[in-house]
Amino acid sequence: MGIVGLVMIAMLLLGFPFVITLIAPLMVYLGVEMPLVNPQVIIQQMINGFAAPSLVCVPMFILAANIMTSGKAANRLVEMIRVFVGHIPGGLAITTNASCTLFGAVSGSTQATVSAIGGTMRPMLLKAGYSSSFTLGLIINASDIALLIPPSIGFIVYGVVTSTSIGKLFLAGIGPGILIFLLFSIYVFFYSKVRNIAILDKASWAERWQAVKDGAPVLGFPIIVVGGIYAGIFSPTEAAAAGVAYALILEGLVYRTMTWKKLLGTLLDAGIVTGVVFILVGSGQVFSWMISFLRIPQQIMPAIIGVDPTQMQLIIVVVVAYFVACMFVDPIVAIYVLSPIFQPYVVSTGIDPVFLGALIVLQAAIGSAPPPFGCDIFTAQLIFRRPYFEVIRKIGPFIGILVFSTILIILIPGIATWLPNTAGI
Amino acid sequence: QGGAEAAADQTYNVRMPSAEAEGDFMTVWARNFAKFMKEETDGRWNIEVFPYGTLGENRDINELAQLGVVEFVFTDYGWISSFVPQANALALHYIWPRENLPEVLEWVVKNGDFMPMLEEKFRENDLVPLGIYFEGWQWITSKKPIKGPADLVGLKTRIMGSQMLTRDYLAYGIDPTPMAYGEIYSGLQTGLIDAQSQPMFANHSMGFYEVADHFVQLWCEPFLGIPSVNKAFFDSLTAEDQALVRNYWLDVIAESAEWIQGVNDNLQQEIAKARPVITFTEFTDAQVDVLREMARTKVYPNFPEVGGKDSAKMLETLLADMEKAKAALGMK
Amino acid sequence: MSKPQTDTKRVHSTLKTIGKYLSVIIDRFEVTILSVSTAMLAILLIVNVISRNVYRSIYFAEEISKLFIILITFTGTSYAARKARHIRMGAVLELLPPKVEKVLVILMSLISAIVMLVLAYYAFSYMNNLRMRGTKTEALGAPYWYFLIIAPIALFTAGIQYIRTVFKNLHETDVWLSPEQQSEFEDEATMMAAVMAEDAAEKAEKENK
Ligand code: NA
Ligand code: NA
Repeated sequence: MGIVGLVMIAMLLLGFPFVITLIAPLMVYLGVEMPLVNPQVIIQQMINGFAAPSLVCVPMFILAANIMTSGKAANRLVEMIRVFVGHIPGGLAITTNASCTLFGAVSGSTQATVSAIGGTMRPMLLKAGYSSSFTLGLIINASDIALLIPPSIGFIVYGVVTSTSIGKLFLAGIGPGILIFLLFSIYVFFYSKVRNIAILDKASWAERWQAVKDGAPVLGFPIIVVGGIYAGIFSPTEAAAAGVAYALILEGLVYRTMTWKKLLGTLLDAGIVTGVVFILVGSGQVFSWMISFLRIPQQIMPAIIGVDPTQMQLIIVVVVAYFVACMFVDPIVAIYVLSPIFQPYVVSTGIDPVFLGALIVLQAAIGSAPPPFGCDIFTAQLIFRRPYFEVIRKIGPFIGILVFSTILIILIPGIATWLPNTAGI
Repeated sequence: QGGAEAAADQTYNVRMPSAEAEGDFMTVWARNFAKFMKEETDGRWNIEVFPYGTLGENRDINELAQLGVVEFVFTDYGWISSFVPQANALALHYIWPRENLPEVLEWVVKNGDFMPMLEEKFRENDLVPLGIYFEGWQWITSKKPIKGPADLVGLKTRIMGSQMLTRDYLAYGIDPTPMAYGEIYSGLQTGLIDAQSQPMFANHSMGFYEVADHFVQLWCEPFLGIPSVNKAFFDSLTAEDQALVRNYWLDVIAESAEWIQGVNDNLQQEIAKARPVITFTEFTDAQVDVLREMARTKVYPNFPEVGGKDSAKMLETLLADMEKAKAALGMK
Repeated sequence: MSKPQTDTKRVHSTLKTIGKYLSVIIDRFEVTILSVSTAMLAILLIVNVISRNVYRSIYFAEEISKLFIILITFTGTSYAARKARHIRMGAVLELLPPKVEKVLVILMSLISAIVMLVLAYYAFSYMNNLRMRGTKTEALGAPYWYFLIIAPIALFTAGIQYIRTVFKNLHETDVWLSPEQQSEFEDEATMMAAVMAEDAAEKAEKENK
């Protein structure tokens, strides 16, 4: 199985499609080392992986974000923030950061946020004098916040596969999300000040009022989606579909940007993206199934963490495992595949499953940016058509801040757990 | 045709996935079985048990056993029914007696005519059933108080997504609401569903008692587990090994029922202590009669639709077996 | 000697025409499945929410949504093979000289084709296995193999797309990552070009006024 891992990495580096990278070595291994096992199990586990009820929310979140990105919602949201903070040093970068946070309340995934906010903010940032690499680094890392602010695909999938209260998990993401927002804002403030990057004119109160009026309907989205979950009107996995309905009303009736032709395009694109991600989820499931079948966790876990690990050791193992895994695969795949393996073991030692969920989703978000394979890098490459190395050049400080936040949250769990514990749900 | 291929000293390293978590009925008894086989054969048999979720969902582990990827599997009547629709007879409400259920079950499995018919149907699906096991009565845990049959009407209740069970619960006016297992807790918490149905140990291990205030016993549905083995594998064993496997499972029907009843009673007390607000309601005989009548008139006549070929005859046989069992046990 | 030559030419062009039509048919088929399934999934989920709150849950909703997800995923896999939409890390390829890149892409497409075709075979066996056993879905009691028909078909067409990619690269001088789209960036490139052209036209119109 070790060789399988090495072959996978070699194939990834050579530029094979990820799905082939995941499945080809497993197919060969199954044929050579496990000849008695019927290979139909590959297809069975693939479908078991991606057709899980908990993942139905993924295409819906993608569709909702697509609809709003193709229309005016993303722009209006950005504008609403820009009129308030655009005039301070680093104002546009802070606007990007805040927009990602707020768009996080509208979208469930980091990639959707990269495309929605990135598409709007990048030209403005470039015009203001920020380097292309800084812009890209900011966008793909600030997008992490979207996975922490509810609604979040990460929390839904973690909650369903580990049977943890999704209501509590949503609340547990808010503290870490705001922490990262603040740290990023401080960083970009000083970055811009040192480089003397031009600041914008202060917007008048009339402009501000107009922007708020224009942008306010977008905020109906989190109210409907998150509110509907807490009110018991729909399940977390259905919530995204309610989001689609709201996005359609918003772009179709309020902003009037949606046409039938455009709608067909958004549907097709959501279908393609879902297919591309889900076939990876399925392949990841095949991998995870083989690892379980061969009882590798039982053999490896004691070797890594000893027989009687402390809670802190376990937390560190989990954090590192998810961080590394997400550098290689989509966060959804990592959460979906790894959580059933780790979670029961870790929770049995007395660690709060909600706190663990917040940490895991944070790692999944962070891991989506660093090279070599952070999926947001590819999203950014696709959307902004910039070379790989330009995308990754300036992400170092952002990753540093994210790692620092992780340490802070491990040391002060209250950052995540205070809100869900106080809310008493 | 046992014993044809295998040598008597053949060693076996085989797998048995279970549809329940570590510590729950199926996993515990699968492990007991593994231990028994190892000791009886001086280590010639080595059975690895895989708790819930490690090798796939219910549907998957059944398929794996059919394909021979795993040799044994332990799942429940609800799931096995999508492979062997006739097994839906076991999911019909109010066919099992409330009194002495483990004894009746043991008699039916050991002496009745139903099991051979069931085995024939399992064999058509490349499986051999090893017995039927009682894991406790299903409790409805609800957010709304339920005093009698009338309170069931419109109750949004999460049940297993099986065709037969859906019809069973619809007969009382309940709204069967299918939902992923992992979403039940949140669903109860937010009020998306009013209630759900689960044996006591699951209500405890999944923490459902934290989000529901009323436990209701309708005496309609015992939760039944069915371990089975891949047909080709089983037929390749020596007659001695086959007997060892079969006899183990026949011997523990009563023992495992007693064990789980003890566990369930303890957990019920623990739940009552953890959340004193919880009410435990058991439907009276008169109330049960009302529901049984609904099941008989609305569900039983349509059973062959769900159960498929030979199912009507099989249900008849099962009911006759039960009467014989009651007579043999000196019940009314 | 000239007659056979024209014959092969004619055969060649007929094949090309058939290929073109087939390609269009596959495209329509995949685009329809992808958009319709995504739309139906959204509608189904929303209708179920309304139905549950007004009356009762659609007890088979989860099962049907599983069907749509299976349709979307396998069809999307095939579509992505045709249009170079599968996620990959192009960083190393970007650095290589075009000739080496071409050899690598041909090799990768060949391996990808084999993988997809073998998967198609496994999917067919699995589907057929379920069909012969008569396995049913839990809620509807429908034959489960209906849900899987798309799997062997789409995996097969995905394999074919990678074979086409091999030939495309043998025929053309440029490097092609898929038979119908040169690189994963092209889609956005044409989109951006269209947007820019639109902007320019608007500007021109304004200036004319
Ligand atoms: Na979010
Ligand atoms: Na990110």
